[in-house]
Amino acid sequence: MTARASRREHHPVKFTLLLVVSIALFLPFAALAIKGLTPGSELANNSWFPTNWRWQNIPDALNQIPYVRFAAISTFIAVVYSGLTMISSALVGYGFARLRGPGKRALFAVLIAMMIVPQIVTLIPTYLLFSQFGLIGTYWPWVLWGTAGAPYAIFLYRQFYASFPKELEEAARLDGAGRLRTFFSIFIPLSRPLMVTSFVISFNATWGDYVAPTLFLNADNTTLAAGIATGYYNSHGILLPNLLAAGSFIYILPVVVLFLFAQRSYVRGFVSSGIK
Amino acid sequence: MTTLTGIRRRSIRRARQRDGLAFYGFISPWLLGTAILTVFPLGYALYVSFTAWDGISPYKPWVGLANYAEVLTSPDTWSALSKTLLVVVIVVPATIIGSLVLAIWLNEKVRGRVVFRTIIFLPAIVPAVAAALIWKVIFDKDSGSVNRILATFGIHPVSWVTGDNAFITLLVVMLWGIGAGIIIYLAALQTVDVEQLEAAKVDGAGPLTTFRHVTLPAISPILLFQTVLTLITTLQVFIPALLLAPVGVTQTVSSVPVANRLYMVDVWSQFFQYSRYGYGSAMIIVFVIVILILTAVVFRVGGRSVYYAVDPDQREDRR
Amino acid sequence: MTQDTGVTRRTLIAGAAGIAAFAGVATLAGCAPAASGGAAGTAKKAKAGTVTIMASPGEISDQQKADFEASHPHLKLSLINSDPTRANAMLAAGNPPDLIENSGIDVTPYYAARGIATNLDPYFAQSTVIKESDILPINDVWKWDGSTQGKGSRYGMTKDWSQDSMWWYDTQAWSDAGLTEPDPNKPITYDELLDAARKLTKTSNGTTSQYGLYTLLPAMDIIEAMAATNGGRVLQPGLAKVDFSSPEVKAVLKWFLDATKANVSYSPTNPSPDWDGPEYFAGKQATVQQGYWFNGYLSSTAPQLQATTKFAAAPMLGSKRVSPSFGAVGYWIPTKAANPGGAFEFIEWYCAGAGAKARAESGSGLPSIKSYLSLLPSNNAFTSQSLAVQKAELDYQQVLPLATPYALASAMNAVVTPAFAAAATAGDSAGKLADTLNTAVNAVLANGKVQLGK
Repeated sequence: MTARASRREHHPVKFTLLLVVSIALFLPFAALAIKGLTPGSELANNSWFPTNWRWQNIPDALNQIPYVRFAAISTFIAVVYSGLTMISSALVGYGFARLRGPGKRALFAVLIAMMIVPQIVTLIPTYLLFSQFGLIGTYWPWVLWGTAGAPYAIFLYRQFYASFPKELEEAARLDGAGRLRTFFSIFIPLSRPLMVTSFVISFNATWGDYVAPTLFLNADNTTLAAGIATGYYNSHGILLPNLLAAGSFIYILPVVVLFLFAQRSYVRGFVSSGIK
Repeated sequence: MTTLTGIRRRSIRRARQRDGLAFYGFISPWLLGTAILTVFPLGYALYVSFTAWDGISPYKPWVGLANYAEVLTSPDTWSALSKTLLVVVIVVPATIIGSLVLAIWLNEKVRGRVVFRTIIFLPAIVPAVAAALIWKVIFDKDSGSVNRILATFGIHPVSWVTGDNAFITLLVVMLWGIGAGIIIYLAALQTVDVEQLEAAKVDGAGPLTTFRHVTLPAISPILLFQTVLTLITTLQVFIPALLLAPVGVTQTVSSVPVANRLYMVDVWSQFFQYSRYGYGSAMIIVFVIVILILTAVVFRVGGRSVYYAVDPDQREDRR
Repeated sequence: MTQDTGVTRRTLIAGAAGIAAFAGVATLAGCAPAASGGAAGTAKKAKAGTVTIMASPGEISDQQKADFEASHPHLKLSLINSDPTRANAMLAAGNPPDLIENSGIDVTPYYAARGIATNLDPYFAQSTVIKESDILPINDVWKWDGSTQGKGSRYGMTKDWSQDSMWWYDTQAWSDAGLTEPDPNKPITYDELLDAARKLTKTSNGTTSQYGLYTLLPAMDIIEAMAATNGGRVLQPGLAKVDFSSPEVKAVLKWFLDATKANVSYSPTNPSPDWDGPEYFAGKQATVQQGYWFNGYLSSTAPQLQATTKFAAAPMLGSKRVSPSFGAVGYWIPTKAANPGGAFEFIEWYCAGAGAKARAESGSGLPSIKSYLSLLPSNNAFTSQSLAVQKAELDYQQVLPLATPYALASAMNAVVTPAFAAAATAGDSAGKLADTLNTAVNAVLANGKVQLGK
């Protein structure tokens, strides 16, 4: 009896507080969904729900801007970047965690410093530099960014790999395996949760990135983030809130779905990176 | 040298060289990438910051330190910086403490906590672009839900994206992500020594005392690290300020209300509204230096505890 | 014969290397180029292939693209949307579009002074489509000689234009308010207009159902235009300084402040949810300040209002009748364009050839060449009245000093418009506003001077 009761402790106060907070944080999603299905003529009405649920808003939102094309481009860039980063960050994290070399500590400080310097600060100068080389309007920046790895991911991998006993490589070394083979055959399989976390974080970051596509891509071949931010205006430059709401709702769906599915691995990834 | 020590020394040296080569081999993508994508651009920005380049002319007139002098003495810089700091002072503590408190509540076996955890964390997953646009719809003057609520109290429609109201709207957008840290804090709370918690309870310590003496020290490295991270991301906030602006089809930074002219918004406008690429670059360099100094200060104040979380090498060395 | 002339192959190469080195050093050292766009080159022949045009979305319709390609089989058009950031990037990277759509009034000194716009004199000289005598004087805005806009070589051509301080009014609203209609050919004064607006504005219970005046948008161009009717000017000779404190210009500032306070229109303190057009169509405004192009816009969007809308000459603040254009939108060719010959063929077709005819016939703007003036519509009372007023106004078109090589209008207006809003809210005097504007705009211009290495 006592054991069962303590399994499901009742914390009515905490439950209520959490309920209130959750409702407050969830309401904007609900408002978004409602607004997204409101006809334009009812936007200024004084009711909570529209009298006509205009499902036509959804195709309208998808036609107002080249939605599918932008979504495809967003997906392409996000997958390329996240995939490249997932591997390269692991490589670099492993290097920092398990290998020794001259100047390693200084380089690690540089890595930390890079986590600190905000992305936008290097974006404009990168844009200046890339425009001199005609790389604007191409997808190469993301390939380069992916290959370079993401500092936060490198950091997580590093923490993770550092927690393994030194003996792990020695067994492989005795078998005659080179360092790279050791890495891929032993450490990568162990890194599944972290790889998922890294992929999810990178995917989100790219899917939601507004500044880089605005600077580096042309307006007719840009990502969804840049497209929905500027596209839902009529020919007089007036905002179309209902279409924007519908478009935004569809836009955040992949991110939410991805998180819901990958939740467990995502959480485990953080835990396993050895937060002590 | 054919003595045994000589051979051993040489093979050790060679092994170390191989080690070094392997190390650099593994980190080469990052090294090269950083050179191309961070070092070169910042170096180029540094060069441009000494000129008065307008972004399109084929020549860049040299002005030396004039841009930096102007950055440091211009009242606009300080006004932008103070607005940014105001946002930081409000949002960073709120997010850190809010996430921590929520994580503590979620750490208990409350009913439905997985659902709560998901809902509370969700806004932090939503991309900044979408968050800004979602709230733009909600705060819309004619059709937004906020004004609808006010209308039931007989208040006329308020414009939330112009004037000083825009700052409030910006804060709301950012505080929507108050649950951003709960995943990390939940993981950190798991690492608190259960035995110590039990001991504290046996000693009759209340929840607050337990927190201060058992939980807090255990999670302080992560807490410090999260503080630094949140500080940095909040300092650079820019997208919500830009997207909340009441603009037309040509998304120009000129319509961002004065209240929301944060530092990075100002930088953006120097480049793309006033075509002052040289001055804007100087603003960026100054900003980088400020951030580095701030971070160093926070780390120094936070003590060496953070190094243990960050650098297991150090721990080993101490052993 | 290799006599001992002292000039051997080696000295030639050395000399060439020396010149190249000097040129390189000069570029690195940041020598500013001549203030004009450089000497005219020769007109290049059109290259078979693509012509890239940066234009506003929807400007060049698919039908027009097809028509051009049909009559110019060696050329294909590639259209990209207007985007200042992208344009800058392309110009900076050295691979710009072949044509960029811009306001000739605003950009000519800016781009020509930087040597980025192609001197089009040789192209015009050998054109068989455009006759020099047929070019309307509005195209003078594309002329720059290094110090004055309106004189010198041509750097672009207007596609269509209007005299933008003219205005339209709702005859019904005027008669309802008991006002006599203005004489369409004798310009009303701005003070009379303000008085009329007071009578036209209908308010009840704190909400206004109709504003008497058009949307007030104090920007450099309208201020300069109004000052010109008063015999003053804002941008001083040399185009590097502004002076808002002269009595002629202060009168303009005072008028704007009075009009804003009178609450007879949308203004910087009362932003319009849209612009003049839709507000007029919805009956929220009784007047609009737009040029002749509004004729075509109204006929196609709200033809039912033709019966109650009339056109009128540009108002005056002083006694000088000046009616400039604020846009004169057209096309210019960047110096690094890949196909300038092909680009100019498009200009010929779109601004002065078959491509310009349809626009002229719809009355959605004045054409760029004289011979198309006769195509403007006068099929009913409304279009005839507008055309008559417009024809009488043509002589008063003048190239005003609205632009400077040291800043684009957007940069100057970025400080002008907020200053007005602040001054109107604080109830500042015109003199105080003038001082604020002087400091702010002169700072922008000073920065621009440094950018040009002066």
